[in-house]
Amino acid sequence: MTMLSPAATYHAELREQLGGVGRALSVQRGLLWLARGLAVGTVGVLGLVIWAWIRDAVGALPLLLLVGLPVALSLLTAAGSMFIRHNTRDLARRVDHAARLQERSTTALELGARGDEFPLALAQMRDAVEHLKRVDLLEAFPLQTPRNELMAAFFIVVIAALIGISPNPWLLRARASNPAITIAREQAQRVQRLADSIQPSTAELDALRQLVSKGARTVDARSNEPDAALNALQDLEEQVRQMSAGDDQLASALAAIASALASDPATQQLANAINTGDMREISQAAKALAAAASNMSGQDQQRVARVMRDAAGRAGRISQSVASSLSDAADAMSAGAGANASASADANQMGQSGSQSRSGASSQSAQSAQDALNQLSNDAAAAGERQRAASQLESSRNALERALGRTQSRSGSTGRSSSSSSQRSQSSSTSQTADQGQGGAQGQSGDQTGDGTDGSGGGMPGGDQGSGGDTGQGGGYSTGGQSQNRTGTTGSGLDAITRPEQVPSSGGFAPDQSSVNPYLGDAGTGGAQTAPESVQPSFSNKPTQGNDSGSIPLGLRDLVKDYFSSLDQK
Amino acid sequence: MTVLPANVPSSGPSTPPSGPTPYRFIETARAIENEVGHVIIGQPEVVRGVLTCLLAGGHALLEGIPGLGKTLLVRTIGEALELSFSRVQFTPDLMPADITGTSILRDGADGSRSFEFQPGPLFANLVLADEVNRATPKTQSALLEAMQERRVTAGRTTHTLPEPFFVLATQNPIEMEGTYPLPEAQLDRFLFKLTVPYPSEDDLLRIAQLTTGATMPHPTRVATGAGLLELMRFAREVPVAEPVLRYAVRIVRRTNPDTPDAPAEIKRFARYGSSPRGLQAIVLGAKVRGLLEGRYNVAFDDVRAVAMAALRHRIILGFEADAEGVTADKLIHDVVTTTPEE
Repeated sequence: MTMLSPAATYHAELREQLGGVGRALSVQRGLLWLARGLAVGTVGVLGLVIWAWIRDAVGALPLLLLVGLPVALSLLTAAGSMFIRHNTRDLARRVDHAARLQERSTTALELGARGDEFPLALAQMRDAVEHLKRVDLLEAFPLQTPRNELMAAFFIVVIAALIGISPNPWLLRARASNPAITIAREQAQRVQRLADSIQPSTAELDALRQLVSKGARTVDARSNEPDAALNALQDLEEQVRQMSAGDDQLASALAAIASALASDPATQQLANAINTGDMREISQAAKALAAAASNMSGQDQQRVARVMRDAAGRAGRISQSVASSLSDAADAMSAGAGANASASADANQMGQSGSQSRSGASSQSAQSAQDALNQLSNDAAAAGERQRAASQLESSRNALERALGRTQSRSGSTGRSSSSSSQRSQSSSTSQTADQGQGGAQGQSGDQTGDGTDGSGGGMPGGDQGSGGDTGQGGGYSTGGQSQNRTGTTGSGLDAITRPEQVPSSGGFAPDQSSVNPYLGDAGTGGAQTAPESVQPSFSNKPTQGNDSGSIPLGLRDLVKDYFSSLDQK
Repeated sequence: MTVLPANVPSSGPSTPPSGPTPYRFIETARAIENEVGHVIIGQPEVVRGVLTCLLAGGHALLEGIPGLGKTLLVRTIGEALELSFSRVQFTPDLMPADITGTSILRDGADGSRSFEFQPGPLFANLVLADEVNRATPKTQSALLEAMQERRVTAGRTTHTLPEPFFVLATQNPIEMEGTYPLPEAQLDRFLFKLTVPYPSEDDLLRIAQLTTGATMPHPTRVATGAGLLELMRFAREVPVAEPVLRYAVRIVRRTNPDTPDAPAEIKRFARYGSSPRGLQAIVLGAKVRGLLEGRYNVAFDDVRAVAMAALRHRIILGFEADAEGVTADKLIHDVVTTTPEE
């Protein structure tokens, strides 16, 4: 047992007492910093709200963040403050001050640290310890509510709420002066609806849905700067087109097999669907054929297999994947037909067990055929969704371009758009060469979106050769190209000026003066042929244009929009 | 009259410490204050100040108009403490030898003659230098050695003054004709300069009742010179925490106009600030006050309480202060209130 000197004993006792003071101070400080953290957090929330308010995105702020930020910050600061250790001298000074101990603790602490043992020093230390014992810490360091901080936090929250619910006058003014902002927002919502309508039944479709949804958010975020929104929309469109790179081949291959499939009643429905050019219909027809394949008799299966093999042969020149699917389905059906025939023969000769094994092989073959046709169906469905997305994105872009006062031909003249369109043109041309004229419509589209030097379109001769050119995969009708098209002999009718404000008029013309409309060229020779699918987007844009131009009454706009949106989904 | 603060008994030392000295100190001081308070009416602060001076071993300069009881106060303290007391009325023709003593020629029994030192009135425990500013500087200077060194040199012989030795001087602030203001060096030797205020109406009533009757109150002796010396030594042992000491240092430094952080008023009106003796006076006075308040340590409040008395005669004001009526008390108040504790 160690005997401590009186001074050391008093010193230890004093430090113990001061430790209690330190804990009381920690609680007091924790409370204070809790409120301070809350105040700082609300300042952060205010900043967020102002930031969102400027961008008209207050509604997009997550409530969890707005509540969680101040709470988390206050808890963090309070917890942090509890870990800060107190200086013993500071504790002595504070308790002397708070409990009016007249520097007893401070003096005693010094005496104890020095180890002074003279009578007056011991008396002083004892006096200090006994006074400290009598101190009521809650009275000396009351847990006061940090009113200033809490009031500050409250007012900041009120200010943030007021800002959040009040409209941004600058944005309202900007929207009033620039309707393109509103249109950009509408288009962003439209693209978002498109994304929501895509069923992520396959990985491809899920990727498409995510891409479109992300793009919609980007467009929405940039809607206050319509030019930036347009760029985002163009980027999204480009990405969707890149995803659709193989769709042209698929369409061409399907077009190539249509006639072969039409020769058999069982595949007639698929052939008809292919002829419509609607990928979703093709998908459904392929699925129906897959379902029917398992119920076919062996003879029918043999026949269908022959048709499919023939179709696979035709598709093989264009798309290996289509050819492979058809060939697999044909092989599986042939095998299934053989198994069926053997099973019936075995049933007559060998008995039931042999018949069962043959029947199992037959069902396996049917399943394989079904899988192959389902694969074809999925590919067609994905292509259909991409087609629909591309079409709607193009429509949105056109709407935004019109709102920005750009004609469709002018939009192609911007550096960004021109470059991407030229790329598309090149890829289409390459594809055309490789396809030996099968993609006539692609050639046309390449012409229109490319440099436009050849108004008649280099791929036109192939336009009539197959239905692949009719699928409208040309990717728009005049997103690129220079203005030579407009003055050339084969200017597209789609570029006709329909809005009077597009005609430059600086004013000052007398009624007897005349001017030449720079947008109107000489009439074409009439040699240009455009597939209906290339024109279709224009027609489908009409309601949107009507909405935008205000020719449809305000109360009916949503109705019209919903109607055509439902058509798009179909 | 409040003799000791009311909180002394309750908030005093919680239990008797190892030795009886701290208690005895407080009880003795309390007894002295009580006895003096019976005679001196309405001047508790002055009584406390003089007592503090005595217990700190310093000299006090009392300033006030005639008739406020300055001389009575000093005499009463002398009686209460059982100290030898002498009074010197300073006049312009007072010579140094008149107060220090002189050697006189004596005839011996055998017919021889020799010089014998005849001690002056300074050879007492308690010396009242009444109206000290009426004497010439030469005579005033005779007090210098006695006050600082506590000894007197006459001829070739140095004579030690009795212990304890206190000089309690008085001066009249309103009479300038025929007076010689005390030189700074001498002022510096006084631990405290106490201003004796004019009594209140009630106090005057009590003075009239007590002093115009058939009997005058007399103090009883409550301490001896030896006991007082013991208390003085004890007071010096009172511990002072470093922050408190630094606070006193800061106050003293800030009375000096050359100190960078001195208040603007000090820089403008003060010519010289306090010397280190001022700091010693503050610390010693604060130690005594701490004990008198029932503590064994010095608090910031003690420093603040004694700072005025310890510094007011140590700050030399410039002519601007005289012109604008700024007093040393005001400057010290500014310094004390603006000096941070930490």
